[in-house]
Amino acid sequence: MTGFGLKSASAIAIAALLVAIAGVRGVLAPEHLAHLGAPACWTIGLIAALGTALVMQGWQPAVASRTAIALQARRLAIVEGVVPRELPAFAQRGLLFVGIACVAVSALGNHAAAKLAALPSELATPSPSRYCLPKVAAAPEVRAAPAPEPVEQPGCALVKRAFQLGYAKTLGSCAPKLAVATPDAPVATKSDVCERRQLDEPFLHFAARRLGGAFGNAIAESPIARLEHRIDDVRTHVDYLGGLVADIHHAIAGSPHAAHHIWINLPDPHPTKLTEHFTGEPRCSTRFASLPLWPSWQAGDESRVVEHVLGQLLFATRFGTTASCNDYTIHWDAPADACTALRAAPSTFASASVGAVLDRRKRQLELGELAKRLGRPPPLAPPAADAIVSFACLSVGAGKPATGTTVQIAGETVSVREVGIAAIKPTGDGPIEVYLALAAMLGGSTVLPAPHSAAPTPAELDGDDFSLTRLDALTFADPFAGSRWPLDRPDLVAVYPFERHLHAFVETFRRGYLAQRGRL
Amino acid sequence: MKSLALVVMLATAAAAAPDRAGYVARALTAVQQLGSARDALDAKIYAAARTQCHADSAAPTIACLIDAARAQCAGDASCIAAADVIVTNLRSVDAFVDEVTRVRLLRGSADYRVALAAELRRRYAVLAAELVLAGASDEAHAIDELCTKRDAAIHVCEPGATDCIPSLPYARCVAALVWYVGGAP
Repeated sequence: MTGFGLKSASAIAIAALLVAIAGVRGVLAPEHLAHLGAPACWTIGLIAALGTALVMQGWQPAVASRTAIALQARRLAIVEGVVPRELPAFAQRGLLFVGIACVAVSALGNHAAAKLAALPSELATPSPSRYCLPKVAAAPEVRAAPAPEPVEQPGCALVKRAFQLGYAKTLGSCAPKLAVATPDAPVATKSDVCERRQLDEPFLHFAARRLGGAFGNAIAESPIARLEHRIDDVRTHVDYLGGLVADIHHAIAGSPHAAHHIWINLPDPHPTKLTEHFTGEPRCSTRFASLPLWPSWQAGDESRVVEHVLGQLLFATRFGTTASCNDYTIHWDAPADACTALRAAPSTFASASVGAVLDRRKRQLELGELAKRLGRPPPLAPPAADAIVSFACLSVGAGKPATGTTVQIAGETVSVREVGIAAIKPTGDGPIEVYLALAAMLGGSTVLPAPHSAAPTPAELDGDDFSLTRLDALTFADPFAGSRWPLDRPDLVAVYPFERHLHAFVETFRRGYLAQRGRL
Repeated sequence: MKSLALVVMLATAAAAAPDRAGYVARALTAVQQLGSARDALDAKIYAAARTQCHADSAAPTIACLIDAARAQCAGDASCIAAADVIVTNLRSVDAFVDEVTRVRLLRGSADYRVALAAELRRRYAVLAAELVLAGASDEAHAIDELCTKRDAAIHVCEPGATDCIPSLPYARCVAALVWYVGGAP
């Protein structure tokens, strides 16, 4: 029994695989190959030749394989101890050369070849960070004297206008007087002394100069005073060691920069799917990336309405600066009295994210004190605790105006705001109620726009003629100012200027809300 | 029986829905038919808005503008359709040309109205380019569809940008396009 040598089979397989990959990537297309310049072709050939030579050292194509692929009972099998048939050595070399050349063609283009060709000269060029390079003497800038500007004379505007219009023949005393322009005096520039190595400076001289400089610095100050200063520094750092370590821990662990929790007694609009247990839930920023302006809802979409309105108010980029999505946690399926329970026992509601944010803020305050003690400029003070941590509750089932109070968590005052909606109507003007309620809950108060005097009545829009003019009146029918009747008419909803009204409302809301919030 | 009820329901809904594209087509035809009288009708309605509706001192009411335009058309349905476009365009000047540009035109031109019309035409042309990119053959349907969907897309324009048209209410978008497309040779 004989077989086909594994070396030959491997050479064919490797070459076929690499050629196929190169073909899929399109680098074997005639246009691509024709575009390659001579340096690129030479470099590809060199790399392929070197690579093949290197591989062939271990491959030993002249020696037959000890293992072979053979047909046994109509199946391919790997057999040993046979004398297999092999491709000639030059053919194996050729196959591997082709494969490696394909890799080189994929990786190298004209630009890469040019960069490789320029590498030796770039390495030989003295670096400005290591050597004092001679400054190119710039030609002295000759500044021409600026054109004289006419002097404005008080009381002459009317005379000039009359002259331009032809009512007056001369300007008289208002004729332009030219200011005398003087050429700029040459500006003295300060040049820095270069302490790096000179181009013609021997290395030993440079080393001696650097050592001498370092020694001079060392003896410029009393070593005892320097040591005392150093000990003081270390002691101060040790005093704040907890804060320093915790700050590093927060940075490495990626602690949140703010934590705002919202409890809603509605079912989760996106219950976790089975696959999401493995792949994870979609990121908040992905979920709110492209919210439709005014989706059409139906009964049963109450949770989606609330989620959509929250997204529009806080995260939709079309309305300008947004809040940071990762700082917000929405607790669906919450009890209706979540905020009552929160006020009674705030620490039980303080999740890990709240603790981490408050601790991170505390550490930043400590680092500010450390900087002060070391005589360094202190870092920017972190925002107040109630700007980076907040709690809010939306309860659906009983109408209740927005109210606010505070609770103490870890010694910090944190705001708790809640609002109640009797029922959510997903259709018609129902979402407007949700906008108003959530804006009041998040922002504390909502300044409603005044109704526009040109807001149309239903009768004004129902004429037989001038349809466009009548529809244009919807521009003044702001639903947040009370003109909600158009939202109950599907024919008007299709052409309603939602962008205009929503933009104005959300922008006003964010102006007030984002000013109350901050991030670490 | 159920399918019959469904068909009746769909037919009723279709009948109740306004034929917006049909109206756009009528307005487009009306503007095209005006031909050289376009500018004359535009000037008459502009003058009527100033004299009868005091457009110079405050934004004129829709009822006043409609009455003034109706008076100019004397019951001609085609004229009324074109006048509807003119009146809507009169009301949408602020949406297309920002205040800084309007002040510049007022100071720098001998005839403000002519300069403003030229500036508006430039802006309408930018909007018409969006229509061309939509690539529909039926102009009226294409205008209706573009203007219905355009408001939902994000349009962020730098202040003073002349080649960017912000979000527009449906009627203003349609009127601008009908005026531009209808006036094209």
